[in-house]
Amino acid sequence: MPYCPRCGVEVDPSVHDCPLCSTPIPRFADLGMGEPAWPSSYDPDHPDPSKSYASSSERKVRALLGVAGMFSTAALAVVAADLFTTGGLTWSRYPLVSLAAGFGLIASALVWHHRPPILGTAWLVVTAMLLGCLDAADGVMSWFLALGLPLALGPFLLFWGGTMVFHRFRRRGYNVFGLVFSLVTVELGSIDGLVTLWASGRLGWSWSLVASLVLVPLAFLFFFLHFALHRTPDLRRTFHF
Amino acid sequence: MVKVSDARPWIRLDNAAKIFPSVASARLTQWFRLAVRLHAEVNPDLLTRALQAILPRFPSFQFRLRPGFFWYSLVEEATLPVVYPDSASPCMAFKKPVRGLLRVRWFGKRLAVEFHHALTDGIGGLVFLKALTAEYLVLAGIPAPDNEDLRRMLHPLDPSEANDDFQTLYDPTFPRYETWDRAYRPRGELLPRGNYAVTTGRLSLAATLALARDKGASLTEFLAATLIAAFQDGFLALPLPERRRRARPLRLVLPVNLRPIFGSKTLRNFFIVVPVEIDLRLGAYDFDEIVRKVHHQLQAEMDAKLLKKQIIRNLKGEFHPVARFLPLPLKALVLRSVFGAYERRHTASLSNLGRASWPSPWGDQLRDLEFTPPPSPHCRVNVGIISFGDTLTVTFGNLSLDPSLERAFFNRLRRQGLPVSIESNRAFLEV
Repeated sequence: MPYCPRCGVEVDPSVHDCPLCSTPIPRFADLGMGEPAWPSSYDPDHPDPSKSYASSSERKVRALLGVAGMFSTAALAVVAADLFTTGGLTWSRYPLVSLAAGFGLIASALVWHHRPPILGTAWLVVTAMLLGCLDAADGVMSWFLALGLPLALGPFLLFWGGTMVFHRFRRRGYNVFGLVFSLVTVELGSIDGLVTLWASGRLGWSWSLVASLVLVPLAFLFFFLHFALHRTPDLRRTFHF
Repeated sequence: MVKVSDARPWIRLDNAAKIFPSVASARLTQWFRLAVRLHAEVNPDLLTRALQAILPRFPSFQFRLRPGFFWYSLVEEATLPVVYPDSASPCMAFKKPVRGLLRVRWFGKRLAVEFHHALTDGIGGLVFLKALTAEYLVLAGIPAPDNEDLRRMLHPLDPSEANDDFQTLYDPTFPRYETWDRAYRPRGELLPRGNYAVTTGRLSLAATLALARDKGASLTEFLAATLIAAFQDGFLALPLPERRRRARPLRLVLPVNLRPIFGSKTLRNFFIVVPVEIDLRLGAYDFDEIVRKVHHQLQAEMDAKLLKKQIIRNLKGEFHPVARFLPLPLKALVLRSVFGAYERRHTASLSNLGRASWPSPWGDQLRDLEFTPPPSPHCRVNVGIISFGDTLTVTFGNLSLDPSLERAFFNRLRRQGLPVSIESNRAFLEV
């Protein structure tokens, strides 16, 4: 039998390359090709299970068509109900925008579910478009740029920032809780600040300060537990007086 | 077996099989395969006749799965199974599957039987393969040997072969079995659906056994240690930050045949898995250390009381009121997550069916045996081992594109002076 010069294993005479390392198998004139050990998946006489399954892209297209069918049926029902009751497109603009956003969120998840950064960006774009369209549905852009867009952008940036910090943790324990409480504090502060700015025209914080009185010490406590106590949790040494 | 008026006979799934139909998917097919290579070409007509001749001897193999309201059950299949040509990927589910849970296939000189795990385990499958091969050889004109081995192989039907012997071991007073933590698992791109890479290495049984004895281990312990060392090679080749992040226990599970331990004759599932592991967080192990660890862990785990404790853990899950009375579709969702969590707790499985033999002159007609383990998309790699004569066959079933684990495993055996002959279907897959 022929053998692989790299692995040193004997190989099936019908193959050209080593199945383990892909090194070409040297051929000698007196050594025939031999009978194949397996039927080829291209052989029509042999049923091949791999032909039974749609490819990944085919399954995505089918799923997208199914979701599009469901959402367009719902959209048609909404438009028909609006036309039947009011004789025009009035209230139905809001559910139509919501349905379009729902489709965008599900479709992007179907297409990019293995690529979280792209999926997160797509969801941000869809959410921002939903808010913009809801604001513009009455003909006037009033709150979207000042309030809607920053409020959508805030959690997105905090989530990705938090994810990057999380991946940089060499050891994960109480520090994860500390990170979560810190991010929640920043998010609540940004919501409070943006809403105050939009309502009164000046930056200010009120209720988020109360929340931060609880959250900030908790975050510090967890970071302390993680970084100061993880090696020798000797409370007498740490708190001696 | 229950028979009510003219309804088809049906049986409950055994405890090990209860989870399999609910979690089955295009990749997690639950089919495993036993094949025998003959010296002559297989005649499919004779094979069909042999199959139809032995089926009355194995009534529990002529069932198919049927969903009920709470559980799947096995219902007698009216149509007789036929023989199918082999395909490049074994053990894969067809989109329009064969209704039964048994597929007999042939290619060239190879005769193979694929079994769904809901039906039987490797030992039950081996009994069926031995009887089918014997009947085929008789029809092919090989005289039947008249000796004790043959009488044992074709002994009359025993009703206890269809028993679910797990149930006889239930004891609610047993303490809780400790769960394992998550295990290290190699990553990598999966093969497209419907493809299963099978790499078979053939070695001399006597030479491998001598090497194992030299290390103070059994054959299974030696091969399990080699597999662990091959996994460790892959882990140590990773970049340092990734190694730090992914270091976990490297845990193999080894199925144990419970029939000799609990005195059972069943041909249905009757096995449990025992773990052997090294902890990658503690640093690199040399091969002798791994052999020693595997040997002692296996000795400790092969304790009937400890095995029973694990069986009772599984039975308690089956008897839990929430699990019992949850409708099947909801149960499937729960079982999928339970099975996923279970699969994350081991790196791979290694199953050794031992040494099979046929009495002469039948044995003279056979070259060797192959045991292909069921595919697992969670673990990617499972290993099946079986011996015949002086040929030890180690088969890697791998759902990933990367054959580096097989390479590391067989190269380790080569470096220890064992000649290895490799055969793989990778070149024949449509990828």
